[in-house]
Amino acid sequence: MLKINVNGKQHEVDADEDTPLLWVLRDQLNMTGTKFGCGVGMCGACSVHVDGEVTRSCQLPVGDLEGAEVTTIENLGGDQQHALQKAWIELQVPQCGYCQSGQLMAAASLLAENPQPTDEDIDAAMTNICRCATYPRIRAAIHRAANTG
Amino acid sequence: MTITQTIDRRGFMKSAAAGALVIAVPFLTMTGADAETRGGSLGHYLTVRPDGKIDLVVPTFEIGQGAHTSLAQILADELEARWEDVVIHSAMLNPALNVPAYGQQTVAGSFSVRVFYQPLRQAAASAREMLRTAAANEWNVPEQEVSIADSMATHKATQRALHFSDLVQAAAKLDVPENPPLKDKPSIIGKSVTRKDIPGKVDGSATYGIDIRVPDMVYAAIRQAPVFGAEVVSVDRSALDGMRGIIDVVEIPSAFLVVADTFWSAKKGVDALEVTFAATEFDAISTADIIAAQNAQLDRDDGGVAINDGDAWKAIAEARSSDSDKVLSSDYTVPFLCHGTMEPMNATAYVNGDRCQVWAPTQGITTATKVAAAAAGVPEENVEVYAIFAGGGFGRKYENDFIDQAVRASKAVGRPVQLIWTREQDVQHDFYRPSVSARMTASVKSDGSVDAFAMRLAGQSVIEHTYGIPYFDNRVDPVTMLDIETQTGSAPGKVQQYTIPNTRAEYLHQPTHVPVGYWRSVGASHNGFFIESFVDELAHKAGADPYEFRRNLLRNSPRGLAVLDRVAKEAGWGTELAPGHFQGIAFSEAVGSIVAFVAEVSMNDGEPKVHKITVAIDCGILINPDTAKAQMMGGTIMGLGSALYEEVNIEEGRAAHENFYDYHIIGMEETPEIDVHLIDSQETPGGVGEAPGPGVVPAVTNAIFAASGNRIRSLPIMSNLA
Repeated sequence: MLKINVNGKQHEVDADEDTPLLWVLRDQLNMTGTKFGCGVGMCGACSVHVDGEVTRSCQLPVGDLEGAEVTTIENLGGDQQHALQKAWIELQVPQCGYCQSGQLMAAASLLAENPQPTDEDIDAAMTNICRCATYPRIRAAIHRAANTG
Repeated sequence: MTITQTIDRRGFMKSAAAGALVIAVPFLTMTGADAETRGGSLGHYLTVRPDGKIDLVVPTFEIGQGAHTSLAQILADELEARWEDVVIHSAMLNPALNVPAYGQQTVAGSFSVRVFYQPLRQAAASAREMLRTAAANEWNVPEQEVSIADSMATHKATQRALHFSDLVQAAAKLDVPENPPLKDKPSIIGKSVTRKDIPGKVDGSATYGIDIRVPDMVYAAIRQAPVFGAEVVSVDRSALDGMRGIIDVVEIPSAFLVVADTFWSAKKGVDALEVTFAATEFDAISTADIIAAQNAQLDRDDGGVAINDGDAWKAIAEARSSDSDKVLSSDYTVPFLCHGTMEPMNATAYVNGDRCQVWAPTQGITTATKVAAAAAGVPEENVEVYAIFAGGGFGRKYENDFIDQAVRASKAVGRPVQLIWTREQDVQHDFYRPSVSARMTASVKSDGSVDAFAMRLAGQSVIEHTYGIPYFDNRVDPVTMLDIETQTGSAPGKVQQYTIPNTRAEYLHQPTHVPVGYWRSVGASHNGFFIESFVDELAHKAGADPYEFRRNLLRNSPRGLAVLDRVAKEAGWGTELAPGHFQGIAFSEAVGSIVAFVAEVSMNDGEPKVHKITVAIDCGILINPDTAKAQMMGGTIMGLGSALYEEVNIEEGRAAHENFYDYHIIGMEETPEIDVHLIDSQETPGGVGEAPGPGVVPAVTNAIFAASGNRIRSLPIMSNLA
């Protein structure tokens, strides 16, 4: 049994150590907000925070997580809606929405390190793929959250 | 519209009247004591709960385009339902909800608002009038004294009011009025209400197909023959010995699946197995072979004729021998494209005895039901398909290959199975946007007007895998030829909104073994590029400004002209730009809407940088302007990305790409400023989701020509820079 801490709760999971965190979250802990997109760490749909840092969970073996704190989209703002989630709704960012969990986790990490990002900062940090191409609204919503959050 | 007429004429499909929406089929079963006296269903699409919530069933499926909310707005508006109380559901199988052009319940062709705007209004108005009558009967007052608003019936004179939930049972017993009055002034239609699906899409709670969890469910991963259609010769299962969680190996035509307790175990199993696929006659085929074959077709003059208005070839021949008229001919090609939905193909199926259930991110439940029934070996009436939110569709989830596979896997193991494709499977086993070659030929009179315009297209048939034949009686694949002619109902000629006396469009079928299908904007995705690049060439040949040249072509289309003028004004066409910046312009009519673009680019070390794209659209009456804007923005960027980067090359008979590292989807940093303008219009609603793709591509390549003199005739741009 492996132990992991997700959203402040300890879980014991029966999985091989090389199983990516993504699949433990989805198939074993039934937390499906974190999405599978590419499986190679390119698209960012599976982004979560590990000890506060945005991480692509499809590339993260669950065996490496002993003692680490994982945060997923289900607990992004804790008990409250995160300023980014609010901005995402106000600006109607999602279309299909499938990548947006990952986009939000990446954006939250950016704002935590850089509360007033420039467009260039956003370009550098936001490498997640959105096939619906909601990028202009993602950018606008990050700026909005930065100014209100 | 070509495909509608052709399909109807051939009698392939029978579409039920979409107006017959009010059918007394219960949708939700009421429970609890309250249910006996309050709440109930009024037609299958409308249920009022005892607590006042109103469940609306909308005909189409949510794949990100916002149709759930837009269609519910139409219903709620005529119904006078309190919008905050509306809960939206996807329809189950019901032929009354077919898209008439296809005879299917499907999200395709940007049809949702177009075909359901009037029927939904009428259905909701009928329900509203039944509720009004029920209230009038209850109070014994004339119907015209009962007003309806905010889910309430009110009799002002006696200050009485009843909620829909108190009226619906009596209303359901009334006759359905045949011609209910429609409202003069909309209340929710035309408003940018926030989409009902979005809150769940920002906190991880929205359920997509891949998120479905069924009791006792297991997972499957798949490996399909790399060369399309190759048979499985042998599978060596010994590598699975001792692996965790493996349940079974299921062999199906040209593929096998490993079923396991988690997806990761299933995927490890699939990766570990030694499999031998049979050789095929296609093992040496490459992209170059395919393009060469279709280019050779362009020399043939016996193609199927899609458009023949006047005599284009005669006019062109006469122009060739004239001293003053000019003739131009250019060849273009576009590559195969992936859909690349962010949610990979997946489906959850449970074959239980003679019954079959499917939960899938699907664009169409009619065909999904047929496919599932065949795969399960059960009658269609024993199949239930639930359309779950799709994490992108773009035409890929119109196909049912992944549903067929999931059903076969469930049948083999006797449990619910969720099949998930890896991204590699998705990239290598798409129904690709076809590669198409085009020969464009036209003559321009000495006064600068276009006298004849002929386009000859050669490529795979998109309809072949759907209908089993590559083309209809006229030897034309109507999907390849889509949106050359108008879908708006009026145009001065046969090519777009242009006035050209002689027009002709020909189709030549070039089969390959590569599966092709419906990619956002389908045929228009390349026809916009062919037509508008070539019109730009004609403008330059005639020595005219490309905007003015198009204005002349649009001289008999006030609606088209207004859109072109709007985009030129908003983009500052003809004004001074930043040093090194150049603009390209393009006009495009697609899916019943009229669109025009101006793209602004500069060239840096021979590579284009796109700075800004301005777009204007007249899509008729707007249901949700913000949703239309979002679709225009996203569709413009997706079209731009496809033009710049996207191509699927075939090597040794297979797709020579694996994942997003070698199939480039545009990202944030590469996305320019997008400036969308919606034209205030009272025209019949047109489509939006597939409207922007066709025009953005030539706007960019025309701008590259303006900046560099380099005419891009093959896509993608980055692979074809001189």
